[in-house]
Amino acid sequence: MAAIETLVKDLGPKKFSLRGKIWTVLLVAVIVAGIIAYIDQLIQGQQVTNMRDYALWGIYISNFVFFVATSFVGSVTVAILRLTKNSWRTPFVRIAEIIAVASIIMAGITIMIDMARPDRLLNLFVHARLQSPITWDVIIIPTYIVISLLLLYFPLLPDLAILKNHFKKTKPKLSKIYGRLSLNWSGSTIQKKLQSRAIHIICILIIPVGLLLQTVDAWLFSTTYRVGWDSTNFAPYFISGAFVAGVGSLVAVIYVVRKVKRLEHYITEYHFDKMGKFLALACFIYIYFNINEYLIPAFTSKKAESIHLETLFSGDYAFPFWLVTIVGLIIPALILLFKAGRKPKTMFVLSLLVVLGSWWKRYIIVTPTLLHPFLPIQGVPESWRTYFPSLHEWLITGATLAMALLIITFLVRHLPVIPIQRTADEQKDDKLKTAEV
Amino acid sequence: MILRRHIISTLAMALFFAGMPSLAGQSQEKHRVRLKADYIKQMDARSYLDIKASARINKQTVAISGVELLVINEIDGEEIELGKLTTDQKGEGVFALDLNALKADSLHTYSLGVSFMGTDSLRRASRTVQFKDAALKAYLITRDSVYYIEAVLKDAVTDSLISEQNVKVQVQRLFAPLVLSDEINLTDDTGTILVAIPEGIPGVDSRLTIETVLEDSDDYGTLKATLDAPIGVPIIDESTYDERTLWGPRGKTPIFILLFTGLLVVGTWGTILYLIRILFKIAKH
Repeated sequence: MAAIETLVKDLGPKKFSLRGKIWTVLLVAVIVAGIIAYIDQLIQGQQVTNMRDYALWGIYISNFVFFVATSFVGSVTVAILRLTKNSWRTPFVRIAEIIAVASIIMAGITIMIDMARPDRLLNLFVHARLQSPITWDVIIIPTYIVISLLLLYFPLLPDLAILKNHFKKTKPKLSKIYGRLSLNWSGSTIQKKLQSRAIHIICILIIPVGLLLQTVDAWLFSTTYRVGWDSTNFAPYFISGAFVAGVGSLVAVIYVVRKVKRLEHYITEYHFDKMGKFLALACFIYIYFNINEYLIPAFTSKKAESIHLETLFSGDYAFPFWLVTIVGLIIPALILLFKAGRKPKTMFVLSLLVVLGSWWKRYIIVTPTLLHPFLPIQGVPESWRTYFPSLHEWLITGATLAMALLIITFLVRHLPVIPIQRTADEQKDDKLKTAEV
Repeated sequence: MILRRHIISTLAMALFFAGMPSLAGQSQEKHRVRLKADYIKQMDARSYLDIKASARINKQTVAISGVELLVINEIDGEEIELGKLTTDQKGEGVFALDLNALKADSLHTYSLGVSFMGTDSLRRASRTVQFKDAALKAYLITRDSVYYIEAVLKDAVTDSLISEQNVKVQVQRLFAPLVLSDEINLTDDTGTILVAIPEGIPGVDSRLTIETVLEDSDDYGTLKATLDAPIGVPIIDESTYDERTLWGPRGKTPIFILLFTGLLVVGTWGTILYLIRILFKIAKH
């Protein structure tokens, strides 16, 4: 019992420090600016964006793809590690689950932001064509949100019960909330059995659903006959890219949480080393798919594709393309091969590069393709042939990213970021093993 | 005193300028209206006047829509009103004719007048169309395994054959006809033309709608005779409109998509519901 109290002190919810408060205020300010911009977009219509006949998908869709990618890995990584019973997963599974929930919620909201008439959202269901990848997306995103929430919630139950008891005397109101959320968890054999079964089912379920989520996301592009998207490789290309974005985000958030909550004893260099290897593997697989996506068209390209590739390799988008590929992918992958590159601080910097690179990568996938249709669009102003997001788009996109970070911050603030009960059980097992030896 | 003067002068100026538009209106030039009227007879169907009204406004030809035109039958200085029609948005209108009700002169020539009474901005205009009643008959014949269209042009009143008239033979198509005859294809002394039909022309159910046309003749107007000939190459309908396809409307979703998506949705949401049930069970224990 004393061990659990120590764990609660270390891992349980803590009040924000001044830095935490400033961080939250900053996020709220960005969100408010974004909401104002969005209201203006609703009033004036999408003319406030720079999306026109050419770039009919812009930064919103790039951002949406980024969120979907990030959410996929959080849940699927956790599921795989749980099913394979990797014990080193314990300190970061909850953070991964939290990232997954925040990202997939924001993915759903971002796609609504992209709709010029969100009041017609219901039409997506009422007039759904089951042949359309858009409909599949409409089905898969809410499904994934629910499963991600369940994956976060089920393992939380024992910890919520612990928090209920912990705050019983000091904060009875908070204790009541935790008590309700814990669903009268008493740790009985039946409850444990039910919980274990449920987690096992979710872990099995979320892998195909996650793969479907990424696949549908990729098919939204590849079923549209466009230069750069017309690829049978697109789904695995997206999945491998999602691993990079997701693991990168996970490492970055873990590092910050570890530092802020002083969890160095729980999230050790050993865990970073493991995550580093995982991230390196993800980067190399993604590099492989990138070579596939660009090299083969370079050999077989017809005129439209040649123009598109030229834009990426040496044209208008060459700088972001090479920056994303080299700085956001190749250099981190190479550094991560060395043990020194898998130290927490180095990995934090690398993960930031990877995450930023992943975000811009989606922009590069979406925008240059749209600017190079097979048939030029006639009778439109010359300025429509180029695209760079407007202030409204930046503010709104910034707000969605801030909102995702705020959800993560809120959950990290109010939930144990490392499972308390499980850590206690593992510590107990370790002690027993040591005693046996 | 000065103030009063100012007010009076301002009012005078206002009155002066207020009158300007009406002055401009008085000197406004009326536009000349052009009327075009063609007599068209579709054999075994209907006869009508094809009328079009336009005007030249600001150096552009503009269709005059929504104006009323009067159609009359002129005979020996007498004018018999046949009816009125209003032009559509394109400035066009069709006036159906019953030749039996019309009166012709001693040379069997019909004289029809179309007139526009004018408006504030458009001048009066009129147009006269004269024509004789003729008959064009087309036949499908075979010679040495080659199909021909033979058409005979006759005066409908005197039954005399009409020679030296250019008669076209064409296949009816959706946007523009497919012309089979030469550019000039005059009727001979027997009022006949003969045009070979090339092989391999596609037609729905192998049917070709062949038109024989005397176009815009000074004496007879436009005459058109159509006949259905089952001599085309059948068009194989490759439309997938009624089939269940990936590109079809939502009512035509392929069964495998319905089944696959349905199974996935039911399977996944069924499991989710089961998981939620577990939550209730946990709460119970």
